[in-house]
Amino acid sequence: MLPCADRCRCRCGRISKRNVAQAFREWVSTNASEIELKPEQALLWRYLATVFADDRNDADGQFDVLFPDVPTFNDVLRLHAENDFVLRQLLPIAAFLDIDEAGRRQMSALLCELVRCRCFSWPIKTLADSLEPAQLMSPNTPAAAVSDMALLLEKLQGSDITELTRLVLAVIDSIQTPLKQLHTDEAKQRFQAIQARLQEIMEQVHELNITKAECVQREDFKTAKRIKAVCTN
Amino acid sequence: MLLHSGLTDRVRAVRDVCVKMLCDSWLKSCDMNPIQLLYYLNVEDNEATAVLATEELVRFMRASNLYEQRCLPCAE
Repeated sequence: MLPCADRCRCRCGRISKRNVAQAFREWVSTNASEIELKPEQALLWRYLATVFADDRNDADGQFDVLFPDVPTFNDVLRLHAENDFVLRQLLPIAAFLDIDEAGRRQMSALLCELVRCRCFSWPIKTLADSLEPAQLMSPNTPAAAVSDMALLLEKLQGSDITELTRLVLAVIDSIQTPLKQLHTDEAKQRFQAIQARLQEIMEQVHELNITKAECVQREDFKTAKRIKAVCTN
Repeated sequence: MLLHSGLTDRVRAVRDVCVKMLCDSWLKSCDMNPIQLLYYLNVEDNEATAVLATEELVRFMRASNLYEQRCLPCAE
């Protein structure tokens, strides 16, 4: 037993000890799927899961909190969908979970949904601000976790390339279609605005031509010359 | 950041002293709670340093196997 040292206020010589899993259970609270994790909790969870991955089956469920079942873990992912840092810490943990066929499907569907949500959090705003496409995928945008999600999706599908291709194409399609629509709408609006302006200019030129003709009739050549210059410009 | 320089120093002795300071002194100051310590390191803004510190903390916790907690006051 380790010496109680300077932390024992009562100097009784006893010490209470607990293992890492018990300690972590208290740090992240008993039910992580309902409580929002702080960035430092997510980071520590990721590293503890990495280190204790081999011990989980020998510890009589002590590590359950580090390696929850897939539905619980999906709830945790969904809860932190907005927090890029936490999400990037949580995604690697999935590699250590026991995932069956149903769990694999559930998690794949969730990842596709998260990628879609992530992608749609920026295009509407950034397109409106006329940013360059390169800026859309900068690490500062909430899309930074997308590559991690794609890698996890690939890992989940394993050797099933057909299913992976189908999922990726479905995600790309669901992102691209509204973007195309957005581009088309924008181009249409710009074309209509140009047409309206052109019509306006044509009317002004027509009015000036009439005025010029009147000036010529009145033999006011000076004004007629000025109007002609305006029309030419 | 000083901690980052210490944990990535090319001299092993410097790294060891830095790890000792992190796991012994700083962790004790945080009531042996690594989450509290990581909170002070501001993990989101100093991710690289926080990752290094977390690796060392987890290694320390694993090495000690049973994680020592502050002693509870006894009945008397």
